[in-house]
Amino acid sequence: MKQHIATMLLVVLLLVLFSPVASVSAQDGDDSVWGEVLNPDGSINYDNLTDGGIVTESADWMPDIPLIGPVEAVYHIYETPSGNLVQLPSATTLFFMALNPQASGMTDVSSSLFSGAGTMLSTAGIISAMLNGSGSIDFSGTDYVNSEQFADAVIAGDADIWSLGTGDILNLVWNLASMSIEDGSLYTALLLYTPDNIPPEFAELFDLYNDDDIDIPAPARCPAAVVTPGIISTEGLLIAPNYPLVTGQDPDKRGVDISFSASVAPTIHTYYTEVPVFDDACRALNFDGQASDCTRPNGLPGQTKREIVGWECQQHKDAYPETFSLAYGEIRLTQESKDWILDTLSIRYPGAYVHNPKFTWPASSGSSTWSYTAQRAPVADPGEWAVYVGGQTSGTPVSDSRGFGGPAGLFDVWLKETALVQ
Amino acid sequence: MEITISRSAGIRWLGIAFTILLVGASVFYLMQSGMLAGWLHSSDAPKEEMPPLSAIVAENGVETFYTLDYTETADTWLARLCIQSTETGCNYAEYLIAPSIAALMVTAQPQTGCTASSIQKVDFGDHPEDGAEMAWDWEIWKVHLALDAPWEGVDKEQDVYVFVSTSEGEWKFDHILFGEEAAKYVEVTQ
Repeated sequence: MKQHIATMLLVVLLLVLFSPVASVSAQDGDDSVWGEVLNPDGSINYDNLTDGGIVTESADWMPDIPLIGPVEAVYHIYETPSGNLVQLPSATTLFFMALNPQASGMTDVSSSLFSGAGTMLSTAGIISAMLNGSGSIDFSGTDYVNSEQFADAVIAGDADIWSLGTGDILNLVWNLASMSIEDGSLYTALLLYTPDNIPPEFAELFDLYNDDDIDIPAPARCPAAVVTPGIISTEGLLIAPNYPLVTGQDPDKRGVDISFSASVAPTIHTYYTEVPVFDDACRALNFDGQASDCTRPNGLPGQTKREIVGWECQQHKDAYPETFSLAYGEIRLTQESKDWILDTLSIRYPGAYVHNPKFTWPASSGSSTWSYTAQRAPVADPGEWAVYVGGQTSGTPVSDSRGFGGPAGLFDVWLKETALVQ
Repeated sequence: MEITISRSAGIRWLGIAFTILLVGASVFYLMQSGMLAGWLHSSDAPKEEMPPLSAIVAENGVETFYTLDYTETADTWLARLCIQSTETGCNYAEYLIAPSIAALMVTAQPQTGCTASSIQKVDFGDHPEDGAEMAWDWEIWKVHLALDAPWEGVDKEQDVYVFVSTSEGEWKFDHILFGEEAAKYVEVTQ
């Protein structure tokens, strides 16, 4: 007879439970807390929830396996934006929670929702729910006259659900478990805990999956990037003749040969990147069911994870070649020589003047080196001549175009003088 | 020559032949069952009762169940157990027990063998109870176990209650009763 009862209980329980939590209604507690959990149509608003995954817990209100410990309780956990925890026990877990509503924390839940067509699963538990809905159960062969009385006795601890028949309750449990296994979404109850109302055992469970405050070092402050323009080198040389004579006195009108050259070194871009330094640490378990492989500083089991323990600045140097977009060579009679011609030489040679104090040879380049040789420049003025090299660079991706120019050498142009010596 | 057997003599010979056949069949049965050998040797050797097959199945199941090695996976443990279990017992082990075994492997790191001996049969019955066709027997045995190297927090020796059945045609291990399930037998046998 007891086995008939167990069979009926199973049938009723399956009917009660076989509606996944697709549409639920609040049965107790404050409806407003469910606003961030449910859509207006009653379905779960998963997009608004942080999925904590399926977690297991060793709970002493689950059936005890001799020497091993209790059967693991299984939940799916979600966290709401406001920090509430929503716990969805598996069908098996819910069954034993209902059998042990106080020990399991079911009576302490802040608010709860249950699926099923108006099925009321109060804190008295799923036992009364399935018994109240099973009017056909014949209790004539038991110590109880009706299902309500038996339910009351179970809830009060006067009757033992395991007394219904060896193996029968286990079959019932197995059927519930297989339902959860076959349909991973078969959760028939949503239990919500506000942050100030999380049961200690559940808080401990959550500790498994949450680390204490971890000091994650802030990224390093690296030096600012530096652009170092390449050095521009210039040179101007008299090539020939060794002692040039002003063309007015030179019967060959030889003039001078001058060599100009310039080069620009690559521009260097020096910058720094923040590079994390990793090390292994024992941190909270993941929700993926992977086994613990270490013990955390707080004594709880954990998993080895690589994490950032510091930062360092890594220096990088990039070289950008630069070219000359324009270059020129020039020779100029120095100001001192001009003054000498006009002030001193003109005393001995009245009417002496400066003929042409400057010669320029513009040229283009396009590379990072430039050279040019001016031949037979007709210098007619004696004195000291300065060689200039100037121009403009093309710039680089990290630097602007720049002009350059300045003295690059000196040479003398000679004047023959006749003097009478007494 | 004519041989004539009287009616009374025929009945007598038929009776003798039937008696010989009956005696022969009885001797054959006693030899096959081992009972004849037991009778012949009962006087010169101490009698050692073999436990029934259901008890041996229960013992073997317990020894396999509590032979734990944390260097193995729970799946390895499960595979060993399921070889000798009923299908339902294997399902219980896989979905209800194995997660706890896996957790124990991590937290307690057991590495032990187990020796089990049956103490007594505490319950039995058949299923379904109304004796319909395909009925099968079940028994619950109280089994004493001893761990070679008990892990921290458990006793070296303990009694457990084991459900065995013939649901698959022969005696097979089904499951070790949960503490709540075994409570009524603990009260009776202690």
